[in-house]
Amino acid sequence: MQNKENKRMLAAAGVVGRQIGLIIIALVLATVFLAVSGYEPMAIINGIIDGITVDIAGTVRWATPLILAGLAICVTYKAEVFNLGVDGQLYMGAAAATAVAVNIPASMNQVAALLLVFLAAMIAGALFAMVPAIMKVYLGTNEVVSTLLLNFVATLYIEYLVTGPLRDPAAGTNLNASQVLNENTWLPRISFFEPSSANIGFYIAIVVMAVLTFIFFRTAFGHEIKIVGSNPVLAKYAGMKPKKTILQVMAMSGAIAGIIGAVEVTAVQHRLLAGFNPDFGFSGIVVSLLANNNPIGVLFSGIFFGALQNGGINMERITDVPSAVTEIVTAIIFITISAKFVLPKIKRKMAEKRPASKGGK
Amino acid sequence: MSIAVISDTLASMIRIATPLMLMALGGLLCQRAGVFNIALEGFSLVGAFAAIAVVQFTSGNVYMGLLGAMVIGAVYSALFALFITKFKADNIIASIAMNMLGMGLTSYLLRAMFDVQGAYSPDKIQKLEMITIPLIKDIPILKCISGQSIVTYFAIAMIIVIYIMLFKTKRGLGICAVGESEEAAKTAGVRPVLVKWEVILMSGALSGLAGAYLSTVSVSQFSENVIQGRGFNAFTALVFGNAHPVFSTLVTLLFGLADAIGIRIELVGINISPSIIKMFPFLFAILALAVSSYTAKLKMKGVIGHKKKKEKTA
Repeated sequence: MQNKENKRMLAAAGVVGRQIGLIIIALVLATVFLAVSGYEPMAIINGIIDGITVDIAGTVRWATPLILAGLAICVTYKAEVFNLGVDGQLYMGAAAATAVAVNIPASMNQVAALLLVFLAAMIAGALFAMVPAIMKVYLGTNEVVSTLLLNFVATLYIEYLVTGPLRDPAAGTNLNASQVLNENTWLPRISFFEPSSANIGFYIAIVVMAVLTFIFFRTAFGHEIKIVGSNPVLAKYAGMKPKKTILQVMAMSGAIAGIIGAVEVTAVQHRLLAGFNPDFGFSGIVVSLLANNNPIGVLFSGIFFGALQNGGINMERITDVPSAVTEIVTAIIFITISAKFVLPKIKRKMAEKRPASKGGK
Repeated sequence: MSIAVISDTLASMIRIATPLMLMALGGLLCQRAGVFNIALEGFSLVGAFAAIAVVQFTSGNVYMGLLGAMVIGAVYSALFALFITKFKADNIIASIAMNMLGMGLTSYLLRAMFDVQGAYSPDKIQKLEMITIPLIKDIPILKCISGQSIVTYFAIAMIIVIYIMLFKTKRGLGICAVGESEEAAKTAGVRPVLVKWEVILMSGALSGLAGAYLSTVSVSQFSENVIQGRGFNAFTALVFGNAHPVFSTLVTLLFGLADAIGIRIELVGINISPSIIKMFPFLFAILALAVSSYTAKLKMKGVIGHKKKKEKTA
């Protein structure tokens, strides 16, 4: 028993070690990149260090949506469904949150108002996620392409809302945004971190993480998700309904994405802005992959990417290093992780093939 | 609607569909070889940037820009090929990573090389002349084919070349064999790794040209959102067209038509928000995707479904 526990710990340490290795590779490459193009080479590393020491507030602000996005991805990923539509779903959540918030009377109790706003956002996100889910289950549509296309529909829909029905009549011609929400629908910011926009959305993210961890590791439903993901045929024989599970995980994922939209609108911007989302959904994929699709791990990798994002923004403000370099770091981590996936498979294949032939290379 | 309006709309349909055609042609080669390539978006973004950069450094030579975009597009796609073949990366994840890297690199280089943010237009850019075809330009509706740029005619030529290569040559047979079953292809003497490199580099070059068309021919500047989902639309087109060069091209023309009609509605001045009009091609693509997957489900598993199933049982 003790031995087994030790082995598991060692395996976990191995995974963490490898992920940290990936991060270091990406940072070294980015540093070389900065040096070659004549910027301060240490800028990105300094930015991250500042993000976890001096400016924790900014890191928390960016980590909140990234953790939630990572959680939204890891729910579906366990069931072998690719939800690349988190960006679209969070936009729809933000739209619903705004539509409800502007219609709530200013005298309403803040907690009740916020509950209504978040509920609306979650429902909107889940419903928008149902479109590709239903297409996948009943028509056999590949969800990768359909969710990607729906992202553009959602982005344009927000553009339509803030230039049309929800547009603030008082806004200048250059600003496409809804009116500023009533204060009773503002999600409180963390007073310790004032004046940053770090908000209690961070606690919401932690609660969502705890709920997902419980579902994954302690309930029959969590087990079902894993079986459906790893072996749909077996799941069917065992009396599970893979189609229903796919619909459920997509709804959960969409609802979490909706929360991101609501947090961004009610706590950070206080109004609906066109294009407020810097591709949280795609970053969420890396957040989840770096954490090996483990909800608890997502918390840490979300904080890392939050520090990276925050560091990049600070860096651009202080020096002239473009913040796009953080996107490059993220992409490098992304692509190196994708390579990792099959490593065990390659090892197995090599073991099988060694006696027979010299292999494909 | 008068004939002039129709032929005008058709001409703009072809103009809009040209980059989609190029991307879809590259993508369908990958699809045939069993590479799930949704990185077309990223390839073409890099191509669009490369074209503008080359135009700037050759003081306005747009032909060099187009050529440079093809070369740099292919070089960029080599990274994708490396990860797909050498490191056996998950196709979907590697594709998305390539798209993200494309966005990061272009907006970084925009700052590093030209010190601007968001968009850049070169100091001087030569306009690509439109080629009129003598006889066709006088036929009422067909004249929409005349008066296009050289890129469009190149795309049309590529349809024929790729059609012949895929269905009439041994090499095309090899590509399809790799997509069907790598093991079987190997025993028949085809090297899957080589085939995959070949199709990915080709799709990189074609997508690069598509991006160059968007940044140098359609408009004369590079902006960060110049591609705007066209890569995904092209991918949908090839799925709907069953990875067949002619059918996929026809689907891209349909997408182009949806876009062209949208623009015409805007010109006529019917009161619809431009954001809603811009949604048309995407809604159309989603519809196409639903129809194609449903028919594929009815017949037998399509290219994607087939592949996925194979992966899972392996």
